[in-house]
Amino acid sequence: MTMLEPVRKSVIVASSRRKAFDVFTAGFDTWWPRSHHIGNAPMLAAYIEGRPGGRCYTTQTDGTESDWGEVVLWDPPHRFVMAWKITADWKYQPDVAQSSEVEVTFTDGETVARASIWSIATSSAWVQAERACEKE
Amino acid sequence: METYHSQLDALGDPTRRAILERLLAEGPLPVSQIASQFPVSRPAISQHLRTLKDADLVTDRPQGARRVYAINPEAFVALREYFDRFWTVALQEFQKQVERKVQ
Repeated sequence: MTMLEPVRKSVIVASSRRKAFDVFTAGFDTWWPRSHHIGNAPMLAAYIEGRPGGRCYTTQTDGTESDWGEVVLWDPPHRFVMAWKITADWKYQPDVAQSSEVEVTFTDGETVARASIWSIATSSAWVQAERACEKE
Repeated sequence: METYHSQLDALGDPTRRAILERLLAEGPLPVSQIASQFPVSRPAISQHLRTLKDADLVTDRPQGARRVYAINPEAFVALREYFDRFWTVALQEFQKQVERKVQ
């Protein structure tokens, strides 16, 4: 059914693919909408650790860290996949097999890169992540 | 925004998500048939259906002596649009940041 199909988005940026990849991942904190996180206190920073099995997490003003995902595929500067590891009751759950995925691919021309994002909504973990983010 | 919140709340339960997936796959079903598929009591299923109905995710109509539940496609379209908008905004921020760093 179309209504539960993955959300697919893409954007073209005036940059090299390498730069686009680095800003998306290492620079995640510089652009991620700050209202969207699962911590219980205001967010300080958001991180994606650039390696297979890398943590995706935020830090909060109360000194806590909140994991929300894990890098399951790391192929710079082409593609990476994150598992959204948030359950129905807003809790972190470590099992990648039960997570939704967000896949981001980067392609390039002369001076532009295209970042395509592909988030799997079918298991509704994405929905859960969004709901959790709305808390703040 | 309130509708989204109640919908997201309603989706925050694995049994309710399973009910929705079943209604998506099989079309409208009476409560008895939905309940027979789950290891929870029929009153519990009725409660879940009420929550889903309050969030506009399902609709119900009488059919003879029983009530038949169905997915409300409009709600799902709205929810999808919400995620779509979220990613649009996030990617715009990403684009601004990339292009700022290039200059």
